[in-house]
Amino acid sequence: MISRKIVLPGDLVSTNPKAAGSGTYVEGGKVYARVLGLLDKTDLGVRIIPLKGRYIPSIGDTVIGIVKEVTANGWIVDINSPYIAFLPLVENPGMRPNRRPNDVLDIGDAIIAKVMNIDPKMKVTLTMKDKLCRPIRVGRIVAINPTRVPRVIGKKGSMIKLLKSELDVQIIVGQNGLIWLNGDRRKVSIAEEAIYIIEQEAHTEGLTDRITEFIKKRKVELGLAKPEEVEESEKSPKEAEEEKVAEEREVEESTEVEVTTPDDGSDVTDSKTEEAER
Amino acid sequence: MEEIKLIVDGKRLDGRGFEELRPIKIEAGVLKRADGSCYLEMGKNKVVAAVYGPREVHPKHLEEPDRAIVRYRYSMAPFSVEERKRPGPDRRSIEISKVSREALEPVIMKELFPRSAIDIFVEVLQADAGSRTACLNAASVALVDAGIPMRGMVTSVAVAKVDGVLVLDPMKEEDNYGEADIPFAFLIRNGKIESITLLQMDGKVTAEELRQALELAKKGAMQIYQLQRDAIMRKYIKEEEVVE
Repeated sequence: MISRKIVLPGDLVSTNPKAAGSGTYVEGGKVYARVLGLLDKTDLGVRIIPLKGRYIPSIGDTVIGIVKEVTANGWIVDINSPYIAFLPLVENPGMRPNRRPNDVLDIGDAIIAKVMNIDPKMKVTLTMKDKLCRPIRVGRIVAINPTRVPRVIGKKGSMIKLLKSELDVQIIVGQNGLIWLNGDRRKVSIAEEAIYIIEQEAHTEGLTDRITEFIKKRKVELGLAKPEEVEESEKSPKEAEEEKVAEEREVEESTEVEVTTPDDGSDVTDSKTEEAER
Repeated sequence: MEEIKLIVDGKRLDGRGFEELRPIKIEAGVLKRADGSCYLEMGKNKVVAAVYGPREVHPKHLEEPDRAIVRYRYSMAPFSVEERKRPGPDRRSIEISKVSREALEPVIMKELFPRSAIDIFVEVLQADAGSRTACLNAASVALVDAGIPMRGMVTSVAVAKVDGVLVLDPMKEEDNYGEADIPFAFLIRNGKIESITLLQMDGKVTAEELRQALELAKKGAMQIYQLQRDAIMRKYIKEEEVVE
């Protein structure tokens, strides 16, 4: 059992400049940490898994944003990052020639979009030409620390699959730390609580098991499942595999959801948007 | 006026030795809404630092196309000193803000965040001598807590000359009645002092004394650096992860 050490900026992590990975910098042939994080040292190289920090967009990321301004040729979108994003009219399939931009998306509307391009001056362009992308009209948006997003997704999407299968809710995780949840209101609440637990206890052992336990407990408490039913519907243990760092950005796989109208009409009125805390 | 003895029987007025720091207490992540924060007590100094960013620059014209801008605001609370201080920036705090910002700028990797701002606010709740050094130490911890990429950490400490002797980390009386006050800030990387990022001097010392003062400050800075590290570790120790 190895424990991952916490490193602070300036700590020497390697003497081989070829091994330098993300979160490090090279000076004088030595590799130093540049952010506060967990040291991940493998044969392939060293990198730092950050513990804190803002979301920095990168091309191809799925993000959840809130429209801040409507202009003649597109929308300015807040993506919970130091950089505001722009969604051009032509990149929104919901746009028809005879409709005005603010009839399609107005200030305050939440959208799921993809980062299409980032220029060297960090001007971010979004696109909605993807089956995942859509305006958010129902459901709930939860904000977490963007550095915890890989944990919520889990290794090869294990955590997100667990939440989906146990609770039967739609979940789309934005790389920027905003997570969209939709489905039965009580189940969405359980999912929201579970996500906060994942955020809090991101770096502990056996997190998936504990989340499974938590969801079962909450389901019984809210009368969504009888205690004995829970025993029967227990998931195969492979779902509860040990938690490890999600290396890959798994949004692609983890976010395939059927586009269905909510079975519970009450959800539409209940939809609320929680502004990003940070 | 009667001569004030600042050193009695080889000890300072508060009983410290010449190379001894005041008691220091550091706590990281005290503010919920800030990206990074720190509360620090250094003797009777009580300061709180908050870091926001990288975030959008307002007003827009300050923005730099190739790097982040760093803004540092040192501010003293009206109740931080014995006589009520008029709130708001004055000549002294503007100067301290400028030199402190310049002490931190070479450490922060500004080039990673073009067109953005990193805002550092440090509020002095209670002032003793050396509040700028206390503020820099707090700001440095808050920057790490905010997850901002840096080349190392900044640690700051002052040296004073009182009654002809160099003393580390002067307190109010030594600052007011001493012959010189020299605040230092160092960039510390991997437990080694790499460079000096701030050096000011109020009063007169000889070149040789300045050299000695620097050595004394380095010793003090290493102790503070360890406390800064401990404060961050204490907050994040539960994050230490066990794999396999």
